[in-house]
Amino acid sequence: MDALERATGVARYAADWKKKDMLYARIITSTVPNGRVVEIDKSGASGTEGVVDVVTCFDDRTIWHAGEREHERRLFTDRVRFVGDCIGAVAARTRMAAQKGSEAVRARYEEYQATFTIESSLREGAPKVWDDGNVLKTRNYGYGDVEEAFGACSVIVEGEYETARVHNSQLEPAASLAWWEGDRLTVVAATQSIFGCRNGIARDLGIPADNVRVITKYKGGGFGNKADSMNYDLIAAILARRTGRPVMVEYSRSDEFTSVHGRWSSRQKLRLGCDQSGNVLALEVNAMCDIGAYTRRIKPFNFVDGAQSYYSCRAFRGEDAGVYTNTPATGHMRAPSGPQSCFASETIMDEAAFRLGIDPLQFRLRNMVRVAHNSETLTSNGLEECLRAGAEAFGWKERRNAGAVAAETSTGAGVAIAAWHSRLGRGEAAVSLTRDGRIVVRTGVVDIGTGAKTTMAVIASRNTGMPIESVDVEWGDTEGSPYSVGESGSRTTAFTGTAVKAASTALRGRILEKASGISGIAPGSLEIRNGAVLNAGRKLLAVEDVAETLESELVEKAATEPALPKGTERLSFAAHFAEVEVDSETGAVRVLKYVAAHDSGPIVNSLTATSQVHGGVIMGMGMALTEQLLISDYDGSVLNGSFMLYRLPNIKQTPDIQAIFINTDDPFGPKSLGEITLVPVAAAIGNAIFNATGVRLRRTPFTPERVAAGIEGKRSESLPGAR
Amino acid sequence: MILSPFEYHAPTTIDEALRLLSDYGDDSRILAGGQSLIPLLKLNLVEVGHIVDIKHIPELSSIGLEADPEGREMLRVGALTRHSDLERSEIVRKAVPLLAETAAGIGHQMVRNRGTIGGSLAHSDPSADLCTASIALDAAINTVSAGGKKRTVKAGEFFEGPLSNCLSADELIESVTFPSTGPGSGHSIKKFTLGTGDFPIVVVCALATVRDGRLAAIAISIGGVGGTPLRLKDAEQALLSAASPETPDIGTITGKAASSLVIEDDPRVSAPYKRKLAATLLRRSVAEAIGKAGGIS
Amino acid sequence: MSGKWKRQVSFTVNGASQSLEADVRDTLLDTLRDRVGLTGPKKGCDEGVCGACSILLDGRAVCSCSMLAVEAHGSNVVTIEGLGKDGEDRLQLSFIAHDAMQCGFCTPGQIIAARSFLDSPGADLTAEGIKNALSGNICRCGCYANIIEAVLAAARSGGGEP
Ligand SMILES: Cc1cc2nc3c(=O)[nH]c(=O)nc-3n(C[C@H](O)[C@H](O)[C@H](O)COP(=O)(O)OP(=O)(O)OC[C@H]3O[C@@H](n4cnc5c(N)ncnc54)[C@H](O)[C@@H]3O)c2cc1C
Ligand code: FES
Ligand code: FES
Repeated sequence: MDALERATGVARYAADWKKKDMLYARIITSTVPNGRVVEIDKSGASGTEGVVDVVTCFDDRTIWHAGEREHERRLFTDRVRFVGDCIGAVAARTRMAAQKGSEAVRARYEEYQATFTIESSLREGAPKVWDDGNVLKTRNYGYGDVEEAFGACSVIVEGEYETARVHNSQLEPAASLAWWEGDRLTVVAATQSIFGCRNGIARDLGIPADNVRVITKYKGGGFGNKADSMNYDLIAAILARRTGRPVMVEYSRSDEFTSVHGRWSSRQKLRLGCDQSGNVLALEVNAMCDIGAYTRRIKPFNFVDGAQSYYSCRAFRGEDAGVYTNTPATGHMRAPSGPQSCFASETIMDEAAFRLGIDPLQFRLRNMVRVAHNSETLTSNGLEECLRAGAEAFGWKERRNAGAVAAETSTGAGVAIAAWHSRLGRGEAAVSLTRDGRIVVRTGVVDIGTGAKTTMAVIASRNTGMPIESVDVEWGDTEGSPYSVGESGSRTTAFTGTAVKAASTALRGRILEKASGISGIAPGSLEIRNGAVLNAGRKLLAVEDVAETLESELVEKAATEPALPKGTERLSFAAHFAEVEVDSETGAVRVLKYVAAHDSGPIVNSLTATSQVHGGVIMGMGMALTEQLLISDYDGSVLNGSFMLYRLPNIKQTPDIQAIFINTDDPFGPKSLGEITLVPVAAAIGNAIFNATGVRLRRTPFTPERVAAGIEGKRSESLPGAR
Repeated sequence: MILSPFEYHAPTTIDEALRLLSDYGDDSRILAGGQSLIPLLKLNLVEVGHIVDIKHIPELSSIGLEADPEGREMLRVGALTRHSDLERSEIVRKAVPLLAETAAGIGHQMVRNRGTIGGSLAHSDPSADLCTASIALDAAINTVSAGGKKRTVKAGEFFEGPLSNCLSADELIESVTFPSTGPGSGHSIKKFTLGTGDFPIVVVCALATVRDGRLAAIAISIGGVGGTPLRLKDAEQALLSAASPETPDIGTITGKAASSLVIEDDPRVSAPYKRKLAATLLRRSVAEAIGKAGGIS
Repeated sequence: MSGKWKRQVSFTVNGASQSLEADVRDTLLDTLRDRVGLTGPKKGCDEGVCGACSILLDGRAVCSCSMLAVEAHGSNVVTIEGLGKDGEDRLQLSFIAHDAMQCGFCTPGQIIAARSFLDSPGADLTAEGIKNALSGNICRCGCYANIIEAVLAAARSGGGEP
């Protein structure tokens, strides 16, 4: 849809905006991990040439509500909780002056003992991140009598699994430009949700939402860390109010790693029980997650999501807790709790299959969820087809390693499955026919890369009968757009799409009425195809002709909020297959082939859906193989906050990826897709490494050094006399 | 963002550049491709008063063949020769294929289009590809300093430690010469990186000559393990002396070489693992070089 | 600010001569974005790793964040905005046709790097060759598979000349 603007460089992202007299702002951050700012000497900054304003925690006490789930988080805080906590900001005429000014601010702290790991946060007498303790609400959930079920098991597998902290690292660093006209605020933000952002800003600044306008035309990725209002949006707005000039806040890449949340790490203890023939009877999950000093307030909120939604299992018990540490904040990243839990549970399933001597694919076919999730009936379930079609396309039998370990490299294949919520929710859209015969779709959707805009155009085109070239989508400005949930949680197609469909269908009806008025033929006998009004397959007139007769735009609005019937659950499913090659000496892992089979209901646009799958798989490969945000055990700061040291997947690692869609006929239409694409990847790759080498990896990322250590361990195990 | 100001000079002759360097001494820095220096300036790790950009000096970019006093063919490349020039030059690919292949594997396309051989050697990163290759290739580094004083330093004697070498503040690398690797020779470069576009963790170069089914010469260098890239003379000797009459046991010899390396701490990988990488890459690289040279019968 | 830290820089940007006074510390990227008013070159990392800032400097792709504006004096700079005659060449169209972009933030850099690769003599026009040439262009949206297809297709149709 806007591909041309992107490909020619004219698409305007937040940092591409300019305003006359615009100031640049830099944040001032804490240098201690836990403590209180006692005093700030601004004189160095105020004296720096070009600096216009310095604001600190002693001048402004705004609460950033979206910044932390359970507690009040101050935008500029004097109670600092990690190295990098924001204590103030500087606005200056140039970037350089802002940088120099921020470095010239001197803060004096009262330092407290700090804690950087789950263990130290849980210890008796541990330093406190928050006064009410370091543990955030333990969730206990489950069904059935777990102990009884374990009692009936003949094979019980136990294991401890860890996923590292990773970072969203969308390519566009945070940027926000704000200016005031009287009491009206305009923010050009890089947000996934213009309405969430607007409402958040209004709430935090204590002004009516109607006085805030948020514009986001293009956004360079988000993957969950640009939902709601971000602190830099507020900082820009506050500095703009104080200085009376437009203010642009830009984060550097290293600011991103420290000041914008990534994905929490997890440590999970699992216990899985099966009967003799390989039926899963009981599963127990105990998870502890390092959530940093703050955990962003975005719902829904679980720290892990158990495999109970995609396995049939007699009894299940889960318990999870977030543990605060004096380290950077965490929050949502594409499928917030999914990859962590899927990695653990899909790895232990593989271990159980191995113990039982059952092929991992067969094990999953036997145990996968069929009709019901817990006690709720599924609206649709294409998981079995995902497994079968995926295995077929992948060549499961041929690619499985039957035990051959070559000298320098060995190959193997692995599988993992997943489910992801596909809730229903409110969506709004206005679709109109203009007098020059074009269709205009207005939604609040921000196109951050999931091709939402294209998808909306396709839906409007299909349901009005107009060719896609005649459809325009207007988006990304709270002014003039109806409400939309914004692009998080794979919901765009599902929510807004439903509304676009309803409005488009209604509009077609209106157009046909008008055409009937012109032609004298009953609307029921007319249809619109490819921009033409047809009667019994013959073209009567063009929709353009109808448009010409209009006095003004023909508008249809729709607000849809379908609800799931009680007792039902709606899930997307996936089965992923990976083939890897492992260097037996260096431990380096290469993914050779990848097949991702998905049930996301009917696919609206298979080109962009395929791209979504590619993107999720690549991101999952990063989590599996190279990505890990390293935290200093000295002061809890980020050790590798640069693209040089935090290693994102690169084009050279790209395997042969194939996406397969099982178009299940879900009664509510398309199901979620964007997030689940990433969920099973690490497990599929880990399971493939096991098949290739016999080394079971229970910790991400699977660095070459860890893999090599595993292989070495195996070798010494198999030496005669070794035990 | 570069915070501290400097004066920018763009001399067009070597003499002019040398004068600037001798006038400002330690307060000046040569700027070539900038792929190491600009990042250092942006991190504010280097602060100098004068930057001397040598890219406008035409004599520093040339690629050509010449004969040394003994009549052997030598490849001379100017200090400003970019990695991508080395990668693409037909002359380089024919005369010293290891050099072309090494250049082709550095960083990423944009770095290769800008980074220069003079800059890479002068930067003296112990794991830099070209530093390691230059040692295996017996390169000679030709410099000139204030007053037009010229000297030639063997690559093996050039590096003194991490990011340090024998150049003085007013000295400029003019060109680098490499003996052509003739027929009957085979080369190999093997490296291990944690991400593509990264400096190698360990990099190994090997150059072998086989005559009449026998190993006649071999050079092996390794980068990334110590303060400078190293030439592994003992292993070379062992391979050569074992070469006649029986085939050398490459694995044992390179394994021994790896176990005698002094491995310095590296936050990215443990020392034992690095040693293992060294052993693996050495074995693979030596075997490949000998194989490419025609193999030992 | 003292005058010796400023320099007159004259260069050609997308065919038009530009002459401006630059602070010697400014990168070419900041100068193109803030002074010349271009939005195509993006700042993804400002550390020479992501390739979003790629431009053609005298025909070869370089990271504009990793050079000073003064270094471009006398050079011919082409950004994504200056590719092709009407601002769209075959590579750009091929990227669109293959859905080789999602958020689009990396796209200008990808296309510049691909253009430089296709224009280099003896370029290895295979998937492997493309991977080698584009390894300095990070796409967090993970469009790599389609990018490879897009460049291959442009290469097949005559090097992507507009
Ligand atoms: C993202 C990235 C990835 C990289 N990956 C690799 C890699 O994988 N392998 C690798 O080997 N390198 C890598 N590099 C470094 C690259 O090869 C540099 O180009 C090289 O190290 C320096 O060359 P330059 O011409 O850019 O030198 P500059 O940065 O201009 O200068 C470097 C140093 O050399 C001095 N100098 C330059 N020219 C001369 C001269 N003629 N005489 C005396 N002193 C001189 C300068 O004063 C300075 O101190 C990477 C760089 C980046 C940014
Ligand atoms: S912005 Fe220049 S390489 Fe990332
Ligand atoms: S399309 Fe988003 S980073 Fe490449």
